[in-house]
Amino acid sequence: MAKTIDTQEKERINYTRDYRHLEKIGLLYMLQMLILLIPLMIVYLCSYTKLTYAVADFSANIISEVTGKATSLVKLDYLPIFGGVYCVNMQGKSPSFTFSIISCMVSLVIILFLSVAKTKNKPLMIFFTIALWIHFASSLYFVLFGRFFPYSLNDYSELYIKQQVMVWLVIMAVYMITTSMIPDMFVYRIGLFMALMILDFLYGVVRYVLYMVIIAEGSYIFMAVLFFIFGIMFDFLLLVAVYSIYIYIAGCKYRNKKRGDMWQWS
Amino acid sequence: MVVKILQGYFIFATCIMLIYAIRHFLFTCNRLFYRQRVSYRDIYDSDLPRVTVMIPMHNEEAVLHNVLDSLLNCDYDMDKLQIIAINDHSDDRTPEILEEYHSKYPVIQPLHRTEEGERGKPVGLNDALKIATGEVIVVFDADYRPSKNLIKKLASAFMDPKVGAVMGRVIPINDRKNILTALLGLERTGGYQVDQQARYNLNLVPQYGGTVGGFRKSIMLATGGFDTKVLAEDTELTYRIYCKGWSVVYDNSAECYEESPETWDVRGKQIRRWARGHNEVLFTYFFRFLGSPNINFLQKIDGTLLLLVYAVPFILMLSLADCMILYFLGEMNLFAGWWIILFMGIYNTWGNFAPYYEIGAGAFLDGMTTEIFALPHLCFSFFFYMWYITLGFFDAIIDKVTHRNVKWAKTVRFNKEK
Repeated sequence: MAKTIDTQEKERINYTRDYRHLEKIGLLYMLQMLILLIPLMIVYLCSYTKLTYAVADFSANIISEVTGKATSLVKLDYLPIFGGVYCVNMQGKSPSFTFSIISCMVSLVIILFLSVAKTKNKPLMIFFTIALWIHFASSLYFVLFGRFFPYSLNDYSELYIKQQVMVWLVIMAVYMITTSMIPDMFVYRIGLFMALMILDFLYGVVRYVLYMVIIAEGSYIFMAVLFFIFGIMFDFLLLVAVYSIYIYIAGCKYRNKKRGDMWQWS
Repeated sequence: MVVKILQGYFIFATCIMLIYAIRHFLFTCNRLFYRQRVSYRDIYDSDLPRVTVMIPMHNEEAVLHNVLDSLLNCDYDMDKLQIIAINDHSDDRTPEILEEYHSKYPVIQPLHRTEEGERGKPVGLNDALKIATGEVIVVFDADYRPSKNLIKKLASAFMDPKVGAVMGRVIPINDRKNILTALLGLERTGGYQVDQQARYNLNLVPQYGGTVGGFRKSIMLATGGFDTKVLAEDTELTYRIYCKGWSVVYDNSAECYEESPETWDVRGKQIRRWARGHNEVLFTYFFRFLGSPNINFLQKIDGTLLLLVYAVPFILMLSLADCMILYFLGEMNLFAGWWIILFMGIYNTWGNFAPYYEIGAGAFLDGMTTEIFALPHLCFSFFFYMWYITLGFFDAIIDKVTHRNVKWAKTVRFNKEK
């Protein structure tokens, strides 16, 4: 006879976990966290103009050094009341017809290769295939209608900074809302929150510099894929990664007696 | 005009995502903070009904001993139990092994389907219904391992005359095998521990999942048996039951262990088949469900969102194409506003099945620790699901338009234990 679940698997989820839950006080706690969040968001909204100035100033210096091209800072209107944003202005580069053709062909070849390749990680393969199709569409656009391309590098720069300001705000809010569902974890929540915001801020700046350099040196042909695939999705990936650490800590903490007593059973 | 339509579609897709995000947030709060609705454990002492367990099998020699041994080990009164092992055109040793079991344990009754004709789970179940002696039918897949008291828990729900079907909780047994099984373990946790339980708490529409669940034979016979043209016979039965005025009960403590797919190819085919079947049910039941006088307003909302769950990835895929067109038309500024942030913020929940915070809550309630580190990988599996579910959606449309016959396919097994 094969091992039954009584002797083998059952121990993994024991009966006491079927219907356990936290006290309703958790809802009140969530509300308190949201009230705390509002001043934090207001501080952020009042200071994002200075923040974007620092980001743009730092990025402009690096980009100039790497590309050897002239850069300048420009202030643009954004949210009323809270003020505008700064971003880097510089000359972009349109792809040549030959480069667009080559880019088209290379994308197609890699797509074909990926479609027949044996890979264990299919989600990553599909992710890159979608990225390549977008790049193929972009390349084809430049082959056929290149001179009608409606954006400059300055448009991209403006969009990036405006989006990033919003992403930081949304991540702040989403993190607080989703982590405050589990009470009595204040220190860990705040510690991980600071780590998340610092990491995401650094990531946002590095990515800004990198993408500006890629588009300035490589051409507008890369703009679509950078925007749609390698864009802000990764900020949220970072959020979920930090959230999983938080849940891991909560899972460990709630096993001990003190927090274990917080469980309720129906 | 074209731009306006494209922008409108983008806003529509964002609203759909927002609705699902709110729905799952409410479910998560309900599961975490409110009293939980338990199943019918308190009426164990009552005279429980006669139960027929059905196990559809096609070439299951590697795994069938697990389910049969577990059932033989269960604590249900054997005089009230009938186990029908449906051998559906197996060409391995399944028939011989079943006969061996039958000779040792007469309670196990093999049903050999060898004649030419329709194949597949619904057809097999219909044949088994003809010889079933139980008032309650419980169905398991061949790779499942029911817990000792599972049948008793499932059967006791039918002491309530309003209950048409009952669903237990599925827990992957091989979730530590690789990243895919780890993700499936997390998805199951979010889907059952939080989503199904919250829907049951809130008197919404818990879903009968086709296995680890049971239904009243009388309902099935009165409504013409399983529809053999439908791939998702479980979803179809759920909506049939609600439309007829019965309810579905979810029992979170009725646990059964399953073997999850271990390769992405197998998972891709499985999810595509589910999407195809589920969307067939969507096309059939969308208006019928909304118009049913037996369902209350909140159930209609929840049931409709549940029906649409395999159509949403297609809506998202289309919105990605929509964004691309808007981008090349010079409308990139649209994405600088709040809409894109909302879209991405909601989209970061990575799918409408179980967003990360719902899975996190489930893992927390289940006492998981290191397993949760697989969570960020959902980001990439979201694209995988979007792709395969979209293919399944198109399959369902083609089925509907061309009236082609669906062909049932079995998920590849990985267990080579015996």
